[in-house]
Amino acid sequence: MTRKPSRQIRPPKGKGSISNKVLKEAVKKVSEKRIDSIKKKPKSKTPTHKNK
Amino acid sequence: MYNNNDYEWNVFINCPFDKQYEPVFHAIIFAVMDSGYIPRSAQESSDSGEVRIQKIVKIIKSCKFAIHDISRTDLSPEKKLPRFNMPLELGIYLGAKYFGDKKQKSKNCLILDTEQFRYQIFLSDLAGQDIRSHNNEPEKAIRCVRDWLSSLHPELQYPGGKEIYNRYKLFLYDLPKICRETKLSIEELTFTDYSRTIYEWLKLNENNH
Repeated sequence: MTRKPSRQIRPPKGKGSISNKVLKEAVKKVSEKRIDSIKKKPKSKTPTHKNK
Repeated sequence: MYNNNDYEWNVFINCPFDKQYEPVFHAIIFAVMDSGYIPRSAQESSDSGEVRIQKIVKIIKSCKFAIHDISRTDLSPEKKLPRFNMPLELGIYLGAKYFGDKKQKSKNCLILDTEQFRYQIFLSDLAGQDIRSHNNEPEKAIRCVRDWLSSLHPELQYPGGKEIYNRYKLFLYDLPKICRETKLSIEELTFTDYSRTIYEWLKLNENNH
């Protein structure tokens, strides 16, 4: 069976009060910082269940 | 004139603009964008030279789809009168659908209220329309919007309501930091700023939840 094509995110109308460059950089910086902080989190020491 | 290509994806959001409703409004904008549609609102243009009703008519004409929230029926504490803007704009939209050309006749809308059958008390002529309730909860509003929008272009694959809501929570977590970076407070974000921020954020995070 073939998978349906995914919906595509479309840009909104209008220019707004923030420049495109500043907005793009801010979103990128904040997103990357969050992803990095998740990666740096120490892994849980709880032992994983093993099949007996 | 409306852009022919966008008509198929434009969604007019007709809802209250007060602070109390804002969490539902913002969740609806996010759900519209994460479903691949373009949110449109009377708030998007600051052209003060244009008469408000003309601006609204122009936007309605350019939107095939619309979300009308008729939940704000309370009397204002000072004036003791209800707001009639939402039912008026719903009426204009339905008028375009029934009296317009072939393209306008293809219009399709979602009507939202806090409770499913409450409209029978104050807007009984709406009987026969599909009315969904969100109970003033952003998560429910997202599900209603996503389920409706995904039925309009069924040839496409859409994220589920829960996935969109989880992504929305992540966006809300990032938003204050994005605002700090852009030197704007959340309260200062216009409808267009808010939609553009969602767009840029979704481009980077659409696979995160």
